Amino acid sequence: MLFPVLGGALDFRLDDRLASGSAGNAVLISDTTLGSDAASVDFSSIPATYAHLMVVWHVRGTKAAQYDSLHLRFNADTTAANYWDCRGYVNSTTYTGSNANAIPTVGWIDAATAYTTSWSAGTLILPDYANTTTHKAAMSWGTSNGPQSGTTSVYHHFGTATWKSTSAVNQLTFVPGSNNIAQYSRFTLYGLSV
Amino acid sequence: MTLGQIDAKLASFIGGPTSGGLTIIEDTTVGAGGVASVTFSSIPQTYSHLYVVGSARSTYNNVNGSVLLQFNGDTGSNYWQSLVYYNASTVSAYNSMNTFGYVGFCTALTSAANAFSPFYAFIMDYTNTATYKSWQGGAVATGTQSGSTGAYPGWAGGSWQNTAAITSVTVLPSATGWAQYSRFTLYGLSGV
Repeated sequence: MLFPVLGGALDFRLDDRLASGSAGNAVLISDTTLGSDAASVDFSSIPATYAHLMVVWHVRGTKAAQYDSLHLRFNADTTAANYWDCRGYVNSTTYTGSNANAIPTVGWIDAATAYTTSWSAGTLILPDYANTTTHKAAMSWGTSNGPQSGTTSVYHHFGTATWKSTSAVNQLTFVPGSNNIAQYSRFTLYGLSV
Repeated sequence: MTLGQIDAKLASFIGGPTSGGLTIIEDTTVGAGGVASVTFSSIPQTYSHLYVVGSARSTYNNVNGSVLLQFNGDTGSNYWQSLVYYNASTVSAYNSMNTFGYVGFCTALTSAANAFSPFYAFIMDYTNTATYKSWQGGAVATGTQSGSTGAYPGWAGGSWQNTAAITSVTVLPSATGWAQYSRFTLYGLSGV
């Protein structure tokens, strides 16, 4: 704190302004690139000091298929009944909706037989994750690329992963629908501060 | 003075535009009793784009409500928009002029208890006085969390038919107001 006599938010603004190389109000919390296939990617001990969280990913699964689903758990909760998965996805011009108590899907990802070296992009925003009064809901997008020929296995996802808990979120775990997340997959978690 | 205004003054003293790509302008959490709408006013003209993000629940006596935008207090029918949304496996679209701009849908009074809807909206090149202003956003109403009742994922984009620089952004529901604990955060995005 460079100007302790000022106090509070103004201190923060001055510190932020004067800090060389600061990332502003989008603060990197963690960045993970897999060195080998892994069953999950986990962000734990997430500080409760931000307003919102954002995750971006570049992912491929190892399932023996052209695509797989990517799921999100909050605070290591594996009970499907504690979630509400409200989403839809589109392949070519065909839309499918899904609403269920399930470990939420946050995107579709390329898998083992998708185009070689093709990885899927996705993003997620989790507002007000440290609020202890409201249930938590993340909004996400994620698209599989399939064989990169026509519309085969190309799925666009958009939806919300609701965790029916008022606990502050301190852990996010990404898991594929089956098998593993492939080497070179990358997940980056940001805190959006105020 | 808001944090955004403090930030703009600091930028003018210290140099800028900013030390990072995303800068807080204002953050509001709705208190007891709710509010009719949330307005971010006196927005600094120092950023390239605006980003509104938050968690909203309407007090409208319905299973879902709407997240809407107005700029500079304009309540005229000056907002062209295209909204796509789905419920179960039915896709719908809305393309129209209106007195507000759609972002998407949100939970409301008869939605599942404690359920709030995530939403976001980008407002592009908001200080440009040569062009109409456009936005793009999305929100998800999760309804009763039983089947597809009130479940409406949706996203929208549109154009405010005005060349004025945007100095205020109002986030409003389709009716009634925002419930306690709804949260709205406005960031400035630096492009240069």
